[in-house]
Amino acid sequence: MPPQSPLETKKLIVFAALVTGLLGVILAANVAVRGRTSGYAEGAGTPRRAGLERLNANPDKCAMTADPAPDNERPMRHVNAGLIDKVDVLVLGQSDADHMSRDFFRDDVHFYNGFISNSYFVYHYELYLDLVEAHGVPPLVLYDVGSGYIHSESEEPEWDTPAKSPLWWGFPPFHLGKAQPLPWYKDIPSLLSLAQSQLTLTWLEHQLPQSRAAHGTGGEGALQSDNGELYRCVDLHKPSMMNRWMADGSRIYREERDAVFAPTGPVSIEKARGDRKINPTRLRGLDFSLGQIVAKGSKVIVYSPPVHPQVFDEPKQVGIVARSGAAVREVAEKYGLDYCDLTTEAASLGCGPRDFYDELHLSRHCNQMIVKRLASGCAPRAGAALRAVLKPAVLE
Amino acid sequence: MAFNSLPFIFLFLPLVMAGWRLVKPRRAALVFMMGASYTFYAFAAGWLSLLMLVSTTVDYTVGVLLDREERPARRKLILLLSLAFNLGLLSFFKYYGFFIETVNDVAGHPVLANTLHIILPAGISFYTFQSMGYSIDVYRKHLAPSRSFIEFAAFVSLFPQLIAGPIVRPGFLLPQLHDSRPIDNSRVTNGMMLFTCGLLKKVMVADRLAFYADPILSAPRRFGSVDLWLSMVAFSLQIYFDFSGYTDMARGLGRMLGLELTVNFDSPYHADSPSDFWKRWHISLSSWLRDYLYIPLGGNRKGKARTDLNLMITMLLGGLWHGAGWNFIIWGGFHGLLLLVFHRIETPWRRLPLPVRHAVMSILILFTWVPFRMHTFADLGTFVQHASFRPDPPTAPRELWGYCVLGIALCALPKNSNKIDWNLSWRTTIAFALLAVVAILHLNLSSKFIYFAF
Repeated sequence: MPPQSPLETKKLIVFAALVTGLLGVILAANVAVRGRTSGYAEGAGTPRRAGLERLNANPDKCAMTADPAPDNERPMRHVNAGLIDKVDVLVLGQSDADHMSRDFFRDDVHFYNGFISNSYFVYHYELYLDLVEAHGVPPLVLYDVGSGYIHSESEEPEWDTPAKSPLWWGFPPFHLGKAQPLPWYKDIPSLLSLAQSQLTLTWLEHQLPQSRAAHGTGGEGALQSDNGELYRCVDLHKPSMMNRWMADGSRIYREERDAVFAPTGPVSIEKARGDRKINPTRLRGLDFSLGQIVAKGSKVIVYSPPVHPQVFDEPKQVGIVARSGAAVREVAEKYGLDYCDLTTEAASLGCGPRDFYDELHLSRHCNQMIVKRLASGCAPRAGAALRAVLKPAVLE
Repeated sequence: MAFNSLPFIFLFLPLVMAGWRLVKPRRAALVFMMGASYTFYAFAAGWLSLLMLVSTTVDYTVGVLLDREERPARRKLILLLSLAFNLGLLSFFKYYGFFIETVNDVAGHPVLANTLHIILPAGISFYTFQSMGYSIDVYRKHLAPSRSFIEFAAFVSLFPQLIAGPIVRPGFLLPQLHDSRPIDNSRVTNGMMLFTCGLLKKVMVADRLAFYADPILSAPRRFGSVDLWLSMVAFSLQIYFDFSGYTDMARGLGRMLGLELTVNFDSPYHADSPSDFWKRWHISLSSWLRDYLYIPLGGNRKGKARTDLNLMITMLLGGLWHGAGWNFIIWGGFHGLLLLVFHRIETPWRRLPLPVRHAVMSILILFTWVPFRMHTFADLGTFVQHASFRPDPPTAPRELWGYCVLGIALCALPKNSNKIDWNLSWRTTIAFALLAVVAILHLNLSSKFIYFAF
């Protein structure tokens, strides 16, 4: 051995000890906190989880303020999956399904609207898996596939391969499409991640008495002032400057009050017309998601909701929408599923101009008309199962 | 198992360092190192790591045969066989698919079917050039052939530099493996600091830049000129911090094992001319191409026209070395063109003030990264069109601007990681340990090194 410099040896030991020691402390804290706050990594006391707890504790009073964006909605659904009851009827899809409501269903039926705005099909399957893990297989799934989604330019990520998009990477454990919690020893990279450590710090901070008082969860009298902050439990029956989520997973728009909203103005044909080619990656995503859900044992009704009739002032839209419908039908048929294409059926459903918030988003009334149609012959295979869980008044 | 992974940092590296120190007989230590390196490589290349063993065996045998053979014609034949084998292997694994695709594109319809779905073994371009360099050096009698297969195999497979270089010359590394050099702790500390520096470059700068710029560069049609150029600046910084970070980590690992590896970067964005850039960027590849391709082609000894041709051939092949794609050939050609023009205007160019030369070079280098990053002609065309003619208001996140400013500031530092004295003060050692913890906390968002693909 060469003569070793004692100073350099000391430095070496201090450097290695400091790195491993600090990481050991962080890992131990993360493992401990993770164990106490269930497998869902977003621990108690984080604003989003606390907001969802309040919402679920006060379903008839409370609507929760939140941002309508997939990078918020996706983790929100993920956390909520562990907080809600079992699900009998699940809605999956994008934001045009946001007014599908538990009001359509019998009181003993557990309904959950799991729409995610501007989302990929793999996100829907991710939420479905969360619910299966937490409560078992939902018996009936209403899958909203709007005609425009199949034309969307953005590439659908593969389930096991992260797209080059921060949205799909997310932060642990919301990455790589693997929403299920791993045993901690298999999850070292995420337990030693900055995001996990931040969550741990938030949780520890929540343990301080003054913080606990500020973030308190659930219980009576949980209504909070509508001050523009996220994850507030605000009065279900009052308008707000923010989008709000209800306990059944459906959404209330800004200014909307008791399911009545004012349409936003001129219809944007560009958004709805689907004036693009069919995106094969999107179709593959739908195929994957449907295939997995059917394999797990849920009954599925696939439907395309109506778009604003003004969209068809652009004549070529008719053909484009028809091609989209044919492509979705082909995928649905592959799995022996019903597909109900209502894209051009606004008038026959009874959805008037005041039922369209814009070219895509529909009122609760129009959504009621949709479920009625799905239960009344449009979905011959699974329609009976839907009919059995709807309130008789909806079918009249 | 890359350098920027927890299993490598906390399992593989401590085990290898301990084994390398504890196994005393030189031969046994080399067997240990070879085993460790093949294990490391097997994580990246699977069964294709056996290819490296075949390549090593061929070049070791070539060295032995060249040593025994004195007749020039026979020696040349042996060398040609070695080159044919090495280049054949590289061409098959790296360029087979590209060849088929190009023939079909030219014909306008499928003429050849791509029935072999070949996987590119990680690091093949690096270890092939390294072992090919050995055969050429032995042929030229610049190097005595290695007498020990184990020693030679340890040289080719040495894990710190195996997958993305630097391409180490046999004359530089083989003697270090041959001589049993004791490891002193100051070198180990020094190596750890350099490794940490590389890890910070990769995780805290390159990966952060990629995180924000990749979504923009992956869909250029959706963005305007400000976003696209900002993202291209981010890419030019990302590739530097990614690759030089890898090199720092490799060199740091070498030092931890008592070995010195070649310097590969020397502040390339300080370059004030195209030829200066190639003395600073990926130095081990540019010097390899100079010594084993450009000079044997005739270099600058056969007149102006031939010099230009040699230069262009070297740069085009240098581009192709990076990957089987026309974009890399265009990138090489672009650099070749810059060198040709520079050789013609060198005297007036040198009269320009240094800041002007730096500024012009920075812009030109930024332009060269465009074909390197945009892999298809369609994306390249879209980028050029939108970056030139679509002055939309910027939409890129503020973080991207911030990381670009950070990257530029780091590039502007007068000392780079080769020039820093890594025997740090106590305070700096502790600061580095804390930064290492921060980098490790970001590892789960760290991506593959760019040069792993080459």
